Amino acid sequence: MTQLDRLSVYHWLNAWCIKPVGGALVRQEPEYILLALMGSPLKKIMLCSSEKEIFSVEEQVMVQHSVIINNMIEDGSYNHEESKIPLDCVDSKTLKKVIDYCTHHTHHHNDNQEDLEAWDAQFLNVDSNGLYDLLMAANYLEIRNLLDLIYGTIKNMIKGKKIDEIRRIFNIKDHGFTPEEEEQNRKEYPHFY
Amino acid sequence: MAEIDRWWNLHPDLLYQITEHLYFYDDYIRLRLVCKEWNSKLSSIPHHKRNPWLLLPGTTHDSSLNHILDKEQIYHVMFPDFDINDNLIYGSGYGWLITVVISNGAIRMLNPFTKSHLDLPPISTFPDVVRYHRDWWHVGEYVLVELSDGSIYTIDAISFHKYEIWKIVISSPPDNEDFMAVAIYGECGNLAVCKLNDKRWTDIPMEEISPLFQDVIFFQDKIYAVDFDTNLYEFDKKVIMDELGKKPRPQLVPLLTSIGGICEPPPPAKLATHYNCSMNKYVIGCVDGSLLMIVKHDDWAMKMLHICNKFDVFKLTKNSKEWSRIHSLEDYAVMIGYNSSVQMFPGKSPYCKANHIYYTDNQVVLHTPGEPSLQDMGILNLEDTKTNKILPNVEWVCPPTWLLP
Repeated sequence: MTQLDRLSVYHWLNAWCIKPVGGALVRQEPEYILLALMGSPLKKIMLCSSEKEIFSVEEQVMVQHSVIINNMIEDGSYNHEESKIPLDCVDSKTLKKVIDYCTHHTHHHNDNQEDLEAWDAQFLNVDSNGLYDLLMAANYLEIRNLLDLIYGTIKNMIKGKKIDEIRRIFNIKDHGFTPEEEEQNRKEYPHFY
Repeated sequence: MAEIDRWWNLHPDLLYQITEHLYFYDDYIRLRLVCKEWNSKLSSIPHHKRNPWLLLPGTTHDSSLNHILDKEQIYHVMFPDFDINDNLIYGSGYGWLITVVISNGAIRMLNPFTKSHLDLPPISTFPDVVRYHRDWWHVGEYVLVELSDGSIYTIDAISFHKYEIWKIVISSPPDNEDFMAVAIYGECGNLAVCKLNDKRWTDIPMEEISPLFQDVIFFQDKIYAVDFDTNLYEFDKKVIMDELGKKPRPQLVPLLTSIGGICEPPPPAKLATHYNCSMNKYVIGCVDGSLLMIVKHDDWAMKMLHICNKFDVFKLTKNSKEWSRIHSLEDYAVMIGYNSSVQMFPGKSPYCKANHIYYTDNQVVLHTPGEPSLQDMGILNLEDTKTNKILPNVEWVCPPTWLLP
């Protein structure tokens, strides 16, 4: 999709009888997001996954959520015309999910708490591998609210569970204790096993 | 990288972040039991936890307790040689409890988290003890005690062990080489100190014959103590440390002026006292270098059942010349009782709230000896001055106390 210049946006909006209210008007369509802010043309940035796949996402969205990306934009190390941000430690599947999260939260931040929480719960309905990837990505990109969400989920995966169950959930096949150590643990904390 | 090993190999920083989101100590223990890697990356005591613990001495067979305390937040600790009926807790700090064994006057430090223990010099080595005695006319052992004015009285050993000490405060965990313990002791509420491996307690001499100290803390290399009349005393810990290190052990007598004395600022406004009411004072050091004094007003009912009425809070800013009264602790909470009085920063913790005073009873003298008694414990919200009592209908042989890891 090509960049629309400000004038074109304005005519387009007029044609559809959508008036800019206040500073911004956002239409919630996944294919294109229009920002009728006086002066700023639509700004997108390119994120590149470890599998060399390019994702185009609105700058506003990523800047709002990711401290790393915000810093890159602010200190000018990102050039809109040419560059893409390489994220070598995030694969495409995870990157898409992260972008999904940020986008949803930017556009739906006025939704009521229950709906947001329901969406978050659905979002994190992944297996332990997927969760691990998300944790790594959110940590790398420093997305605070996604991290809190993930840690909250991890907490629930541990809370009140038996040790063997926790090992199964986190896919830890070999616990690494010697037989003596494991026996000692079981003796000292029998109610956890 | 193999998919199987990923959680196992979690970076310590991320593992730490997970523990930051855990509220139950049990879950912290679970994390350490899951695998060796996590076990090695997490310390056995969660130092970063800001949640205070309320230590409830009891036995697991005590059915009345089990009924009330049936919640996840209760963590049971087994101490094989800790007899509930023979111990009283007179101090708590840095995760350690300081207990007095009633039957033999031993003073022990116990860590419920690591299960370690070590001994401090026993009560028999306190400066006011003349000697222990056993003879035909008395039942059991008794003690000859010398008061500051030179007079001597006798008291049976069991009662002596129970009431000799008002409170014991430690300066740091005992693995620190600057470790020192200070005790408020005796009829006159004097101060005595000891270091690790000392054989005796050494008196801090005062000009006052009976200062009646009510609280003492270590703060910024000094020892601060508040007496019955809300006077604040300051002592130099380093000077005391040095003197204690000398051989042979000198008496601290000549050092009165260099050790310290009454602090410059006069006490806060004279507090109205009235019949049948006592005031207990606590002093706390704050992160910004200022000192807080908390005055707890108690009313006694006929059955020694004291009910806490109100608190006054005073603040002495660093280098200031006078105390000022404050009505809010802002973002902080304080915990007082037998524990080393502390200020806490609860942050987002749901178990510790800002601008609250968490208090437990620390007046064992008011309780009938040997019998379980009700305790005055609660949480006061300074904003609306409402108090939530903690377990008001449970009787304790050994009073509960706050414990901070």
